[in-house]
Amino acid sequence: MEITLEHVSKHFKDRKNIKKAVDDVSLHLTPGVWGLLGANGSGKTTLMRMICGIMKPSTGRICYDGVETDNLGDSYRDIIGYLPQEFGFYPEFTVQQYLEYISALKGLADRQARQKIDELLVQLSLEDVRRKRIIKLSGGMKRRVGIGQALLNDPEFLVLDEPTSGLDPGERVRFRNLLSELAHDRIVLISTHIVSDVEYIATRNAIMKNGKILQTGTTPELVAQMEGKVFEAEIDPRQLAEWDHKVQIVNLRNESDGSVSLRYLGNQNDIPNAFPAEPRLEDLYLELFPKTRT
Amino acid sequence: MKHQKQWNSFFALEKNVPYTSHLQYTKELSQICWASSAGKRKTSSAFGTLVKKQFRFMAWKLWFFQGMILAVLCAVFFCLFENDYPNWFTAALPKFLCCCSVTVAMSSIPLLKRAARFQMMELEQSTRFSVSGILAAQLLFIGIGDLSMLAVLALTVIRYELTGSVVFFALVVPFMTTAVTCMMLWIRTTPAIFGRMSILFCIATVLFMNRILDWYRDSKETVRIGYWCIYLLACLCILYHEYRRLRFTNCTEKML
Repeated sequence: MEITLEHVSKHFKDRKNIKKAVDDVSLHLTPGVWGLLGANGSGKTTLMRMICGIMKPSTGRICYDGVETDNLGDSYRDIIGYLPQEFGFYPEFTVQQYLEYISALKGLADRQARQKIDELLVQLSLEDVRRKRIIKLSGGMKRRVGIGQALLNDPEFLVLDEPTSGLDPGERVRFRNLLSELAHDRIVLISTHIVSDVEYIATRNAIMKNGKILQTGTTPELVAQMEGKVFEAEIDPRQLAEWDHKVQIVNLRNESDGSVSLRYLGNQNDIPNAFPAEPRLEDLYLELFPKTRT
Repeated sequence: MKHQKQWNSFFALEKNVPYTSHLQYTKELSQICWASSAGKRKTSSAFGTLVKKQFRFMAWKLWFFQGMILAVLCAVFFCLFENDYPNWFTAALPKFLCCCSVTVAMSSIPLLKRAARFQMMELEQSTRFSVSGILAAQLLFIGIGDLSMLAVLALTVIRYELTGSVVFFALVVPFMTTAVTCMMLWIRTTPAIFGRMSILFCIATVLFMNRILDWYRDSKETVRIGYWCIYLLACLCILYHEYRRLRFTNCTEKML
């Protein structure tokens, strides 16, 4: 099972201008968790919509096992489970009714749908709230319902757009573990700008900027590029403004002795007494998406 | 998908096939067969299943809403016209029917906007039937509801001194005009614009149709059904064209 994107682009006409939301993207997705990282507006959602068949590429083609998805028609949608960034629901629906509704749209037979819904409610710990209206659920529970609907058709390809936004840290960890469980024999594509969401669970990552894929690779492969570029140092708080202009600061921590611990991207000589730190995916992300100084 | 897996496993097992090129050729052939059979799965029975299931989730809510509107229209009708017959009745009734007819067409707007309002459109688009299939099913229910409402309104006024052609003109022509325009707007604009534009257009239709009714009254002309039937036929053709556009093209993309 594989999804191949060949020179996929998407243009939008904005009055007289043409905006390239996705620009000549080529990717080869194989089973496992794929992290799609990028800042807001980098084209992640548009790319995911095209992969799911919600939008058509302006140029290029998307293939499933070598067959262009356009030729597969409805059957391509049968293998996809999609959780959009804005998870919507009709306010009058209970969890059970909502899942039944989506099952109907996915063309599942009644008996099969009932069986799958029961199974998923247990798996996602939503059994107790099955007759509760979705509107009354917490953010985490709503997200779990969202995951549930995506899994109804037992998809081979699960596409999750910003699945952890609005979740508390505990729920995020549970969510990540759930995704890792689901990733066996499936392609799970997660788009996020929260690096820690994919750092530990993604088999491979793709980093997007301005509609283009900048880099792809496993987390260790990507992180390896940052060897020798990440340092930590202790500085006087009064020097902070000065260093902030000279180096890319990743993290700041006020110590009990009044000093400030600084993690930064740059050279060892930039700050006196700096020592090398173990690089993380977040460091690469910050190098590719440097913060704008105000 | 199942057949594709079977094909793949079958070919994976056949390691002693002597010609690699032949194997590749057969694989490609299987992919083409699979793709073509996938295309054939777009059958009307699948759409029929969706319609059946949508009845449970959506149709009764729509018809209940339309029933409420009909009840309000009938209540207004009896309050306005029952006690004052026949002083201004004959002149005002066609105009009232015209307003009712546009209201009937407008009753579908909340349902059409619903998926966009509750951010369900993207999710619905990613499912087997996609937004176009779901909207097509909804249009079917809307059509049944609208026609029933028009029939009830026609039956309500049939005992009064109105010719069939006037009832036909006041009920059907504004309804079809509004329905066609709403459909065109729905397919061609975003949901946010659609709401405002359709309401504006409905008001314009009511005003315009009232002017035509005034003209008929003042000029003592009779409503020539034949001419208006041609107009309605054109409306039906446009509706069919728009329906096909909705079902078989990617026009729903900009609704997202």
